[in-house]
Amino acid sequence: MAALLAVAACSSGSSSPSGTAAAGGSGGLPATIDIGVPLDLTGSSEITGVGTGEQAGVQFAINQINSSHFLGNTQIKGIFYDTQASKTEAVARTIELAQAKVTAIVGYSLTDSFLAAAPTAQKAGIPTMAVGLSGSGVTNVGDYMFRELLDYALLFKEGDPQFLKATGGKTAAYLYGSDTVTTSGQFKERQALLESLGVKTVAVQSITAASTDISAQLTAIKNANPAYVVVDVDTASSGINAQILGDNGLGTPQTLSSPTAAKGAQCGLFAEPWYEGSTAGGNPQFVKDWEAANNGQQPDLFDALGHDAMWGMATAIKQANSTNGTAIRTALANLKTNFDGALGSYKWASDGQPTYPVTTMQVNDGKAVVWTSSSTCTR
Amino acid sequence: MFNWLDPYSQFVGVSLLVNVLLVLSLFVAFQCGVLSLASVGFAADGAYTSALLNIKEGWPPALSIAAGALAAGLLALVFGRLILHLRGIYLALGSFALGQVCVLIIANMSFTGGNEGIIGIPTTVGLTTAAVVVVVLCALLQILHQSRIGRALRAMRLDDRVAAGVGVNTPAYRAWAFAASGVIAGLAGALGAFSTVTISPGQYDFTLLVQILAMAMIGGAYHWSGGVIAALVIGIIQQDLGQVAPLVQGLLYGGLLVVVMMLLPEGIIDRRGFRWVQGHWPGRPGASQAMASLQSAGRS
Amino acid sequence: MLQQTINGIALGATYALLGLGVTLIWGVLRVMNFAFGQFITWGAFGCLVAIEDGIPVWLSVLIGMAVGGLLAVIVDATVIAYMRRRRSSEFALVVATIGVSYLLSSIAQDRTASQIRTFPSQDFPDGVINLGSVQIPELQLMSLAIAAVMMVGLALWLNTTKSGRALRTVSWSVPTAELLGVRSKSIFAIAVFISGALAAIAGICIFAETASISYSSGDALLVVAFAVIVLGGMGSVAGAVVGGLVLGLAQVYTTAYISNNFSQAVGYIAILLILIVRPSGIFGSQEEQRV
Repeated sequence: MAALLAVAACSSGSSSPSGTAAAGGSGGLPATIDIGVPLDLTGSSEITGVGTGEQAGVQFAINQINSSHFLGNTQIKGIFYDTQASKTEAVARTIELAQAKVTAIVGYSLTDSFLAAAPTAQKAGIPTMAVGLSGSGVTNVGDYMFRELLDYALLFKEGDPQFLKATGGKTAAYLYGSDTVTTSGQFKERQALLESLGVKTVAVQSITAASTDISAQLTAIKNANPAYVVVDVDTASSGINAQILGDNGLGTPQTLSSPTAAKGAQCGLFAEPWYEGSTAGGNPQFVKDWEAANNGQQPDLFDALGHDAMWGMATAIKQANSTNGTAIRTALANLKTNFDGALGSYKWASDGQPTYPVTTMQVNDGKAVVWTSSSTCTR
Repeated sequence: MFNWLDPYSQFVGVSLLVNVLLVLSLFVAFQCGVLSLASVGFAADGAYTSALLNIKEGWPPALSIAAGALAAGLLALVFGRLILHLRGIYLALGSFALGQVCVLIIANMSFTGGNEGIIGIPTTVGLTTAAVVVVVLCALLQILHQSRIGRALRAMRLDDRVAAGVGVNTPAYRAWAFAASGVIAGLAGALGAFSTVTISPGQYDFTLLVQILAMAMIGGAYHWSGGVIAALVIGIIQQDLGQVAPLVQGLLYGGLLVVVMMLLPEGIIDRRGFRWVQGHWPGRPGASQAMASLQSAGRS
Repeated sequence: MLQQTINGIALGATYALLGLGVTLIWGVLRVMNFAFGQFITWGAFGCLVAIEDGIPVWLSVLIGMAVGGLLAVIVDATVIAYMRRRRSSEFALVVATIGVSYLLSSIAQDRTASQIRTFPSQDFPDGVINLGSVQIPELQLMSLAIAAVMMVGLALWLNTTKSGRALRTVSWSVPTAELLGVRSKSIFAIAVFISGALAAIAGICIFAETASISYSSGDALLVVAFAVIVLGGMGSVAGAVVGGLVLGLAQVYTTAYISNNFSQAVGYIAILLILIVRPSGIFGSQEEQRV
């Protein structure tokens, strides 16, 4: 089938342009639709889990779309690239995809790579779905840019006011990763938000991926005696008696796999765009299908993101019934019915942002559970 | 001039030529015995200086690039005075530390955008510009090679004390060679910045250093063509391999580096190899004969 | 302040271990081995795999040390010995070790699929001891204890045992040592093995505290190791100890009182400053003519 040809043609520098009027498709669509998928699969140990998860999700979606004949006789061919956590690779591959006139791009795991490469896609008029970027400014690049993962600033805006009201603390210490665009940007936004809600900053500490020792930072935080410790790193801080406000990295299986970390994260509060037990939208079906296809293994956030990103793009292509970039873009921003994906039942707004709701959660006894203002937890 | 090539190949070509410049920056210092591992840091300085001058102060790109190169050279000149009295491995270690500190300082200052880097640099450097710069530089290096200064530099690499005894002002030459290495590295960084829209500290990392060091050592310290050939060949092979796993990359660079150092420690173009090429090339052996025999005498 | 000082000493002790590993090789073999960072990574991974296979922690640590030591010996016996025989220049040797380091790193990257792995810190002591106003994590105490034992052991070995003293002779002059009947090849092998083992144990202590390890974890520590011996003087055991403690304290104090971000640069800045001001380091007098 055409999908098999995709794997063979993928790795060399040239690829044939997708047919705009090839025979054998359905309606206004050609027999094969090329969609570029540039993701960071290697190059930096901090990002590989993200990239490989996203790739798995995208591939899973492509398989589902093709085998269910969602687009009739038309098959989707994914052109996968490993951009190796390198900006120049991301730019080069995007130029290559634009040259090959792909119908759409679903990809990018790193915000700064995206910001470097996206202008090329925007100029070429290729509708682009950024899969796993959590920073801001993604959709500002242009009107062909859409995002699957929402801006984490929205996670904070939704969750933090509720957390503050339930716990009533007045001081906060921050521990964030200073070596990536996303984490340092998110720290600034979150600090601004919390301060505007009346929480005083008593300590700010940062670490980097190359940090060999964080005892100094932890001691400094402990000395400041804060009511909250705001972390955006996966290191649960031990021995500090404060309420933890985290982001969704706090509740991942990797973070909680170590009993020490799970103990340190006890009662930590955070907001999630997705969790495995969610019953919103098409998630139950997604989880079931995923486990069936993956030997009972559970999906994670990035699998869900990859899945929804590709399905969302396919839905737009179907609605537009054409491979014209402008038509797809317009369809994606104006979906007739809600898209039922793993992240819920939602649409994309005209500015490219997804509209699914956010869930507040808490780490309790080594597990991440849904949190409401009436939940209880003992430290 | 290169419009017959598609945009992707042009973009890759510029990236390749930037690497050639970085290798040449290593070469310029190495030919007189200074193993400088600071080039990656100087490239970052050149890139950031030129980008900031263009974006924040509105300087035209050509001027910004020149300023970036000169700024890096100045840095090399100043810090060179502090560390060039060291020898051998100590100098390599010191220059390595210098290069890394440059990048770390950039990564932690707010006006450089910190780790987020700078976005929105106009893409004014194309394949034509890069090619012209490389060709001009190679011509200059060839002139240097055939000149008295070039012979003095090469003599310094073989034996410092003998060279000083023959009247070569070794500290001054070393300082200028290091500064030139800085200028070329800064130029490489600046050209790269104006071709890839964005720069960030993370791209000037140890991996890049290993790659250009591999190319420079394989090319050898005798003639600039060695490094250029090594950079172009290895770069093209890497492109043709397309999406290779890190393991293959590691075998390519790491393994190649080890094998070449073990078998051809002088690189592919050493003195003997060059003389062979010269002998088979319609050109003039000329005045380099005398110094060459002095060199071979000093070697044994 | 006292708490931070303790943090610094505990960290400094592990840094001293790293320095000891590098100084052994440098002092004896005159090689600055960039692959040392990989000995750290592979040794620690050896320990990780052993723990995951259910082997008791103390044995896993020893296994990790053995892995580090063996890897060091293999690298030395193949690449470095060959180049020593051919009397290659210092540069070629260093660059060859950089190549080896890159090669080993790529293998590690491939085997771990570039992912960060959790280092099982729960299998190490994770309680806290309270001494008045100060809290000392048991893990830090363990690192301190291990480092102290290693340092004392190494000093004793070098000064009292036959092989240890043979090592000191060899480091002074190989031909002399050979003339006196010392088998330099086996001495080299022992020294290299010990340095690899030290790399591994230092790495294990550090990764147990940060609870994570990836294929690139050892590289950041490589700079630290070099900084320690530059600070303390290459070839000097006492220098490695003092250098390690000073660097550990410097890093902790910088993080706590100056700026988090610059703590990364502390190692590099230390190298630069010492090389500019007093290249032979605190204790290294025999290196002066080389520098």
